[in-house]
Amino acid sequence: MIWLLACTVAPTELVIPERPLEPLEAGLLLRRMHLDLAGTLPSLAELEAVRSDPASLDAQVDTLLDSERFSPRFQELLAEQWLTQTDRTNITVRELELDLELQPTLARSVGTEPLALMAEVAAQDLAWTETVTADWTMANSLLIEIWPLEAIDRESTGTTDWVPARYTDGRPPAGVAATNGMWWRYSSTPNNYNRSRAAALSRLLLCEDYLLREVSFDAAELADLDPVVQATQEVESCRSCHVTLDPIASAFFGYWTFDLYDPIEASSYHPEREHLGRHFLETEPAWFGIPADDPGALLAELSADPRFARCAVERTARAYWRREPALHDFETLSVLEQGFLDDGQSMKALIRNVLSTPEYRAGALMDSATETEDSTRTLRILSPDQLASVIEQRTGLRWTRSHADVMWNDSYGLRTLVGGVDGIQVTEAQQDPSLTGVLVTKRLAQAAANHVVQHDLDNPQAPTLLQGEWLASGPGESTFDQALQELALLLWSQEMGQESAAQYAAFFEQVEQASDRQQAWTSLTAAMIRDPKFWSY
Amino acid sequence: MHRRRFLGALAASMGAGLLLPLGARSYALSGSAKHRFLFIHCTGGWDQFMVFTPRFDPGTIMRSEQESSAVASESRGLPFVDHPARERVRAFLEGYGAQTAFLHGMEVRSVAHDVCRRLLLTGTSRPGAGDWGSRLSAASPVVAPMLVLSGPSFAGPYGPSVVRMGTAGQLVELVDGSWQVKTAPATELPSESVQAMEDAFALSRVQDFQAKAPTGQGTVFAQDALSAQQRVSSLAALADLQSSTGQFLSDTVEQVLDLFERDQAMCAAVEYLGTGDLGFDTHAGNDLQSVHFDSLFGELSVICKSLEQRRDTNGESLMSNTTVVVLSEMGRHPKMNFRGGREHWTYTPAMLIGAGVAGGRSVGSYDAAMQGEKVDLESGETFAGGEALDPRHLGATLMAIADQDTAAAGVPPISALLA
Repeated sequence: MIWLLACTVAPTELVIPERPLEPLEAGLLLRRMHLDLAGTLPSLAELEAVRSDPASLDAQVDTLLDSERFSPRFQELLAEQWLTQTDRTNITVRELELDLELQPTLARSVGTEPLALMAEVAAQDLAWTETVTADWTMANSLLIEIWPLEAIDRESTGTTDWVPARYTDGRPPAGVAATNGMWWRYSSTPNNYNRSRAAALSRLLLCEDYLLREVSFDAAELADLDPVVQATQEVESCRSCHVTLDPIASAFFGYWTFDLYDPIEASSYHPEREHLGRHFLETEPAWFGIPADDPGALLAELSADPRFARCAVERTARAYWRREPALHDFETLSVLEQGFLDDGQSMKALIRNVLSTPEYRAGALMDSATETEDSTRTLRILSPDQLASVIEQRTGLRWTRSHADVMWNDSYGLRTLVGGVDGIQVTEAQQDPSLTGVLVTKRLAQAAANHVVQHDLDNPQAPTLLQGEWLASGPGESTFDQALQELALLLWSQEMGQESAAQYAAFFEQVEQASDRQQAWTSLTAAMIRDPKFWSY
Repeated sequence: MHRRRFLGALAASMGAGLLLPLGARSYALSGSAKHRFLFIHCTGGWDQFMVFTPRFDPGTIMRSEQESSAVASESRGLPFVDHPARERVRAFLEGYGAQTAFLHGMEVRSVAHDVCRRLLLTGTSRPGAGDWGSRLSAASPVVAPMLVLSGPSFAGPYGPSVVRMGTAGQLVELVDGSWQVKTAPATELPSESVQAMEDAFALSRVQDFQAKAPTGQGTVFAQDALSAQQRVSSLAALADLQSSTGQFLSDTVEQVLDLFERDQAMCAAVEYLGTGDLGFDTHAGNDLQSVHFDSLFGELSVICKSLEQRRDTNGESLMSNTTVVVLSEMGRHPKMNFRGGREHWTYTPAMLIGAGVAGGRSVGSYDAAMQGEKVDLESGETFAGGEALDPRHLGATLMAIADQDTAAAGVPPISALLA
């Protein structure tokens, strides 16, 4: 089987290598696409449309890529890899003299800035190079209040508080590399001299991780040297990395601070410090031998580096395949990369192509599959963000504690307990069911079911999920049977089989006998949320 | 039958009674459920020269770098650095040195905290691997096979056995249901009997899901779902745990020992940030390490005393079946910098205390430049033809202590450390 990918926006036609994988049924594939592109579940009408005409899936993808939900969902995927959304920042509300209750919002906002910029580039369908060359960023009102930022008049897909903005402190345009959000997360210490920042740029934008290199230190040489900069220049094993790392670090001294905890120091760019790299690192700013006086010039060189586009493809495949690309993916990634370049580095076109790969669409393995296919994710688990958004979509519940969304943080919330990353201690998202994830889902299901049943009983004219006549019905009534089927479509995007329907009806009766009909509906709704057909996809 | 079909059929046939995950996890099936591990991670990179490595000999770069009042000493066969400001170090070694081993010169091959943490705890710099605790406990049937109270954690493919406490003790609130009234909107829980019905029905749905799971990864995914669902109700046993935030290390560990005593946890991990939670990353003011070490060893004395006094469900002393593993992701540079601190160093020691450990033994050494030397794994002696130690040797040794297959570590265990 040859997979032909036809792009609507960019008419590049790609030939993707075949794989012995069986695609998901159209309705379930639409569910997967909805969850990945919008973080929501498909409507009954959308479901019906693709089930009657599976060829309409591609049009559905285009609709989702153009939806308001695409940008925030894309940010969530980026967050898993960029690890900028941490609870801890060196500068807190205390130093900024803000209300203590704002700390979760501050941490979330800071970490979101670079992600929002990248998501905006994707949503606007600008060339991906804009993510590292833009002279603008995205900011919310809090960031505009605390940082030298001003909102600018620029077309935007921002749907919430986030708007295009520009720094007013004279920092050179460098896209994400000119955001405080990036450099507050990847900070540098007085003796690190921006090296950790250079390493982060390489890892995130080139997919080349200096820290993973096999380095054999000759400790005898290293220990005799003082100071460290001498070692980085004279010891061969050190030079192998530092000869390219240090010139990159040298370009970022406008962001270098003398005090990590001073909000004014950390919030502003310091043009007068740009030359300090030459002093501290004893090297000229450069991108792999190409002189670059400031971050703007350096990022312009980075954007032209062939590794930049390749890395964007690898990271996008990783995000939607839900696994690390492996050696056997090389051919597919090469085809995707060529398409990405042909399409003018359109992230939307790339995503469309990744979603068309057999790897993404797989629902099962063919009998001819080999061990290579064992890594293919035929089942995925909802991330904390997806869980929060689909629960809000279907039940209206936004679960908060201490004014913060519980799926967004770990100080008060449940992000890592349900499988997310905290950016510091837990840096890999859980891709499989976990014990604490099951526990959180149980409590979330109880809360959501309680909330929606009560709401829908109180508002029969405008129910969120459960229609008034359903709530009045019970097993043995056709309305109840119809309700079960419709709920299954709404929550699982598939019908409930006869056997399962009988089990759910028996469970309903059991609870009703022990309690009452309202509790029976609450327990039934909770059970459907705890069902793997809801939290896997 | 195709291999994956066979796996799927096997899983389905074993049904609800199957607690043990399939595939990569099955190697741990031979492990003893009665051996326990407590991991204490000293975050930031400790100074190995302040306690573990008494190097005052001429010709080494340490000659002029030791504290003025520090002296080389020995207790219960363990050479160490003694100092008047660290009385609790000496006290610990006098009390428990016979059950303690030092492992010197493990190379972590990086000077970046995050990479070193991953290397130290998983044995590889590549993403996706589980840490030693989650691997050791993957097949354990206890309530909380790997309990993460705080600190770095790499669950890898062992999610069903990893129980996260949450930074503010969220796990307990979820378990006892109090979480539901502290969130907005607050939720009233159904009666106990209805909750039991809900749990039983949820389990039946996951069993159904598992029986119909797709082949390949889907089989393992569904099996993990079933394993997690089967365990979730038993988490009620953890309802009296308290967050480690603001607690002394020994107080936090007491909770773990409660679980060990009741046979409800196999491994636990806790982070230690030293006095004032300031951490060990002393690029300036290296004296802080001394305060941290004195405090750490004081806490370890309390922990060991408690291990000796407590009995598990078989009436055995916890000290007889618990190994305490004290780690830090990196060591510190032999030479002081101009700020009175030390930079990172790619060699770090580890301390193993308790069951399965050849106590009073110091394995590994440093050469004149403070680089780890090769070791004969059988004898523990420095030997040019031996092996350079890295975290995989530590992992293999822990697996050997737990009587598990050490092949998964990729290197042999350090037999000299085994009792």
